[in-house]
Order: sequence, then structure tokens, then C-alpha cells
Amino acid sequence: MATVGIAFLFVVALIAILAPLVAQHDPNEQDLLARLKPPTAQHWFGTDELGRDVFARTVYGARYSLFIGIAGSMGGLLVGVSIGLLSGFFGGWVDHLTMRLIDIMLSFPGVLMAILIVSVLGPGLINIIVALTIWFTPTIARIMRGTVLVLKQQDFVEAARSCGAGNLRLMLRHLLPNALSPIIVYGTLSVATAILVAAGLSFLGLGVQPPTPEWGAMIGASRQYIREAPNSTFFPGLAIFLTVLSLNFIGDALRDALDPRLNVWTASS
Amino acid sequence: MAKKTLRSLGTERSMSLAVLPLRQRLNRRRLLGLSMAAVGTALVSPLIGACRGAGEAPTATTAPSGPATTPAPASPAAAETPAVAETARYGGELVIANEQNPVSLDPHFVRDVGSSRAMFYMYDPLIKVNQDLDLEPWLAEQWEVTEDGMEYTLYLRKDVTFHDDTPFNAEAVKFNLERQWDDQTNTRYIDDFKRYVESIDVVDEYTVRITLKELFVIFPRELLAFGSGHMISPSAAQKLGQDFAQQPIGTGPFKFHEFVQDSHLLMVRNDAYWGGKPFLDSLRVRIIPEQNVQMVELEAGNVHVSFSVQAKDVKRLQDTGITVINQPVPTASWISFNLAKGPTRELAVRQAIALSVDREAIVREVLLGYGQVSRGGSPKGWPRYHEDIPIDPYDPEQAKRILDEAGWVVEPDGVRVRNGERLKVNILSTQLERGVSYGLMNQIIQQAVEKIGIETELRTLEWGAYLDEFRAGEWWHVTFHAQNANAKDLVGAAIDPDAYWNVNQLGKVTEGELVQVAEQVREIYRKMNQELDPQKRVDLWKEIQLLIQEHQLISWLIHWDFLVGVRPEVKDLVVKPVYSDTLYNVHRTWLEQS
Repeated sequence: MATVGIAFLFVVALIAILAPLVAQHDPNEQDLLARLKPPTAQHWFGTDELGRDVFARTVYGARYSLFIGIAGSMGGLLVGVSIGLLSGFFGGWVDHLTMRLIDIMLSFPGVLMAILIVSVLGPGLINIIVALTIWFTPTIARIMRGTVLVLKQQDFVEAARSCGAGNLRLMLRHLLPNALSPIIVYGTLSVATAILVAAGLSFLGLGVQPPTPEWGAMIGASRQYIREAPNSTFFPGLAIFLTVLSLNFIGDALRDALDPRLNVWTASS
Repeated sequence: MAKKTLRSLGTERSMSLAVLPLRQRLNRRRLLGLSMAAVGTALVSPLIGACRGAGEAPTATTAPSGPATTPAPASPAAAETPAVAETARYGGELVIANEQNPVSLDPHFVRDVGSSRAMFYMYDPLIKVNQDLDLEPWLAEQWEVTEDGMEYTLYLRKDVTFHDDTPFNAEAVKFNLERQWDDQTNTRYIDDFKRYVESIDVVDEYTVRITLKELFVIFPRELLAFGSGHMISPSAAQKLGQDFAQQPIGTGPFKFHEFVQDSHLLMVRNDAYWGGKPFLDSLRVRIIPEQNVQMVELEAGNVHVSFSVQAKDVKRLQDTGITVINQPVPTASWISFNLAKGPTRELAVRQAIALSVDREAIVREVLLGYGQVSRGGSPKGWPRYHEDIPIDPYDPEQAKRILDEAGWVVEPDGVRVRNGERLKVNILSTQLERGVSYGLMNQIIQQAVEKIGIETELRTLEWGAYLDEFRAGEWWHVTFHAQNANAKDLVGAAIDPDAYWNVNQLGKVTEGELVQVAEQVREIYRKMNQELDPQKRVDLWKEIQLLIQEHQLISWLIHWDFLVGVRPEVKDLVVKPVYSDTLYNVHRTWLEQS
């Protein structure tokens, strides 16, 4: 399944990069005379409430949705890993302070937290990424800290220290690489979550601004016409569904490969 | 008995009804609801897609040659319905869909469309706005105004009692009206009453005299026919205080039974109603925020009446046997220009933007014919409609020429530049939907102005935040805006520079020819507010209409028709051409039993 997922994501990424070649229409070009049309040879996915080509919008939407998903979870990884590493490594008051802050952040339901952040910062592409970064940071920091706490007790760390390795070298050369496997799994799955959350926020009108063809925003804008032109919500919905499913397949496969507790032995026949 | 299920009512800000077609705040409950809907849409849309054949055209794509809806019946009489014995009309529950919870069940705290439409059935006003938008005697059988317009004498009906058997008389009216200026109660009408009303005196048991402080020509319509004019039981109000909103008592054809937030408001028949025993056993107002859900419920027969029908729904509803009443209403929509900030301070830019939008296409393709291009901000057939006021035509070539002549030259990237300054307008938008969608219209405007070489940035804000920014006028230069009115001669935008919701920042202009225009507009408004003769007020407003056109203070767009869906079993339902307080004489409405 992971292979299917990787293959699909590869295609989606390729489409996103080559969007101007794939789509024959401008995703933002309105044509009021051709509103809410079903799929035809000219408009493969039909048209939306402003007569825009849904295929072009879905294709260009891949750029925004993938970018937001990856940037959001990367942001979370960067900040979360740094905090977790520092907190786990130094312990003491640094650990106390950061972990209590993270407890506070974790006590908010995720979606509400994201909505709150976007409401304060205002809607927009960058602000969604900031909101996603803040969303993922506490969980990633927790995972990282836990792993570092275990690792730093181990002999190889003691050995490196006794060879004169400084704090920075210990953290970056010895602890970080060994603590990465759970983070990689979580990171992959968080891309999927980020795409879904971004779609949700855009659906609510808190995400990217019209006429940007983000998948969630497309569903949000067209849902009024779901009975007249289901194609304009169906295709972006399908795109979100397949992309998130692929990411989950990959995440699951990575977990199977990297998590020792999940090892499964099958009797050879 | 009434359950105590009412929560968090009566806390929202007061707003001018004419300016705000819909109060739709994005609260947490609504957000959660929407997120569920988001998940639902993602899950359901593949199914729906699968069910529809690829060649099957959506119904909305074929524009009708002309609207084929039922015009509003001119007379409420049952002339068109087959004779049904009066006794056979009794019984049944009428279900009406409403987009939002009423902000309060106390009419004195209600000044918005969603609330008045939900709960006025429990009350009667002193004076009623009828289906011709004229004032009509109601609890006041008759009223007199002195020639200077400063003193009103109301002669009350003598056969009215409140639901708790408190008699309705001059003392009750005095209590109700004095409640409006009480600081403790702090109703939605407190500012108006403090400003305009000098005293309320009981002349005899059924006669009340109201003396004004300053002339207010629309006093009966504004303050005796809407929220503040609806009578509540003095004894209940005194006994319950703030809790009155949870145990409302009026004189209306229906009595309060229960209210469940986000679900329904249930009212039962008032057998002792002075206008005759109502035919319906009960009246249920269901809170259904999603427009599509209202349509599905209407088709399924779970809702009898919906005020949220859009052009796209008409054919489908008619195919299922539902009557769509097409009410011409005094609505208006336009492009607001920020006259005090940004490039829209320049007449050439405003003119070019006005010429860039294809209004005919919007009426034909978006409204599917259920509307008209605006001439001077008034629909055809209304007092403020004048054939000699020109319509802004669709002429993008002319728009480009105007900008060229003003020195805005197109650069290779397609955007116009003058003296190193790029021509860019900020477009403010929101997700409001009333007749037409603000988001949709703003995107149409966005594309239109981009085509004539103007760069744009569009920002969508939640309705409350939108209104704050709209009023502040700090960021936006261009925005679609719409209004409706509850009176014949009140159509139009708040062009008055001193109005709370001045739509184009005219009051903040400090330089150029617009300073003088603002002074002219102020002077006309001053005269209009002092003018008792409606025809003269129409003439004065025409002067403003011409000023708007000459200086392109705003650019009128379209008028949409008010579409109401009614199930066939509902008989003698009279829909008024107003958004607020829309149904008339509900006690005469009945349901055909199948």
C-alpha cells in the first residue's frame, strides 16, 4: 500500500509542479456564461459557481494544499524538535518551563487552537502555516523530549561526553540522529493532518483568500451548489481524500519499519 | 408548560435594521457545526457525484426566459383556493424555517431580521406595516398626528388582553413605551426614544398621546411598528424582570410554549385572540442555518415555509410542487468606494470600476433572471425609481480609455502605473449570503477590475469583523454591499456622511471636490429628515441619486427578488415584501389536511 501511496503522491507532486502544463485553463478565469456545468470534454471536472474550470483549480490547488501541508508540518517539526531536544537534554528549570507551556497548549482542542490563531492573525496562506506550526509543536516536542530522556542515559552518550564532546555536538551529532525515527513517522502523518486542517480552515473561510484554488476553500465556496453542481465539490474532495490516504499509507509503512515494538514475525512456511 | 431552555439571549449589539440584512455571527457553536459540515461534505460528495450521470446538466445552468414564479397574491382572501368550510380549516402545525436563533424573545430587544421573523407571532404592534408596505391600524385602531408632526394620539382597541389576562389599555402602552428609555432595561431602542420622545401621556383608558422632542418623520414606522411597538404584558414584565425573555407574554395570535436554542421555537394557538381564533394549532420555527438543508427539508415536507430560497433552487422546488412566491422587495446592492482613502478618491478610477462590471450578466447568469439591473438604487415600480437616472453601462473599453486619459498607463505585467505608483485596490469581502453572496459578487468585481488593469487584493472577514473594517474604512477601497428596507421610500444606501453606517466614508473626506459634495448631501439629508410629505422626500432623495451618479459616490449594481418557498398545503399565507416581520395575518393561515 505504501508503494501505491508513494506513487500517487509522486504524481500529485508532479502535477503540482507542472500545473501550467497540465491544466489548459486559467484556474481563476471566470466565465459567468458557463457556471456550474457538469464535466465535458472541454472542462474535464466541469465548472464552479463562477464558471471557473474545476480541473484547473484542482490541479493548481495541489500546489497550495501540498505546500501548506508540508510547510505546516515542517514548521512544527523544526520548532518542536528544537524545544524537545533542549528540554530533554538540559532538564531542570528549562524542562519544567517548556513542558508546562506545552501542557497549556495541549489542553486546547487542536482545531479550536488553530481557529483562534487564525482569528487573531487574520486569514491567509502564511498565517495558516503559522497556525499549523503552533498546532504540531507541542506534540512533537513531547515525543522528542521523551526520546532524548531515554537516549541520554545510554552508554554511547556517556562515551561521547567522556571524549570531550560539548553540549551542542552531543545534541546534534549523537542524540538527534538517534531520536529521529518516531519523529519521521509522526512528521509524515502530520502532513496528512495539516492538509486536512488547512482544508477545514479554508472551508470555514479562515484559510487562503479567494480566488486562490485551495481544495478546502473550493469545497467551502461550492458547497452551496452541491445539489446543482456536485462536481465542483466532489473533485477537490476526492483530491483531499486520496492525498491524505496516501500519506497515511506511507506513515503506517514507516512506522512498521521503524518502530521496534511493532515488529511482527511470521512463521515461514 | 414552558421549559427553561433559553440560554444566552439578548446579549448582542444593537444594529440598524435597514443596514444589516442578516446578523450572522460566527460563534463557536456555528464553527463546530461548520466543521462537521466540512467533514460531511468531504464524505458525502463522492456519493452524490457517483449518483449523477456525467451528461445530466445541473438545473441551474439553463436560464429561464423570464421568472416563472408566482407573484405575491394581491389580496389575502382565499379567492384562489377551493372553498373549504371554515371549521375544516382548524388544526395542524405550521413549520417555518429560520436561519438563526432569535437574539431575544423580548421584542424590545429585537431589531434584526432573523429574530423578528422568528418571534413576532407572539405579539402585536401598535401600528402594522402591511403587505403594501403601508401603515395600518393594529392595536391602535386609529391615530392622529398634529400638523407640525410633533404629537401623536393613538386610539386603542378595547377588546385586547394579554396571554396572562392582563388587560391591554393606555397604561399598558405607556408602560411599554416608557420601558424603551429606561436605563435599567436598556432596550435596543433606548437611543432613539431618548433622542426623539419627550413624553407619553395617558389621555383616557384607551387613548395615549406621544409628544416628540424633535421632528422624526418616520416615527410611527420606526418606533411603533417594529420591535419597540410590540406590546408585552406589563404585569409579566414587572414580575419577571430580565427573565421575561424566557417567559414571553404578548397579545399575539400564538402563545409561547418552548424555545430550544439551535433547534426550535414552539408557539401554540391563542384561543382568545382579538382578531379571531387562529386556524393553526401551533407554529414551530425551526432553526436551520444551512440554506441547502432548508431546501431539502422544504422538499421533504418537514418545513412548510422557507425565506431562504435562491434562484438556483426555484426549478427544483417547483418540480416538487412547492410554490415559490416572488416578492419584489426594496433591496439595493452596489459597489462601495472608499472616498477618503486610496486610489478610489479619484473620480476616473471610480468611473472605470463602475463601467467594468457586467450587471446584465450577473442578473441573467447568477440570479437566473430573478432580479434586475439597478437604476439609481431602486427597483422598478418603487417610488424612488426614475427612468431619467442613467444606469452604469458595461463598457470595459471606455473604462480603459478613462484610465488612460487619467495618466494610468498599462505596464508589461498588465497593471497600470502613474508616476511610479501602481494602481491597486483592496477589496473587502465577507461570507454573508442574502439574495446574493458577498463573496461571489466581490470575486466578480475583482476579476472585472483586474481586466481593466487594476491590481487587487481581496480579504474575507467574518461578518462582525467585516462591519468593523467597513465602518473604519482603513484598509478597503472597494467592497460589494447590500441593503434592504422595510418601507417604500427608505430604499438606498446610507450616503449621509454623518450616518453610523456611512457606506463610502464621505464624512471623512478632507480634500478635493468631494468636500463640497459631502456638504450638499448633508444639506439634502437635513431637509429630508424635516420633510413630512413623502413625495417631497422622494424628490429630495432624487437629488442625492443624481449626485451619486455624477460623482460616482457608489456604483449601483443589481436588485434581487425575494423568493419564498411555500408548500402547497399551506393556504392563505400572506408574505410581505420585507425581510423582517415577513408574514402577515398568520392567524388566518391554515393547513389543508391530507
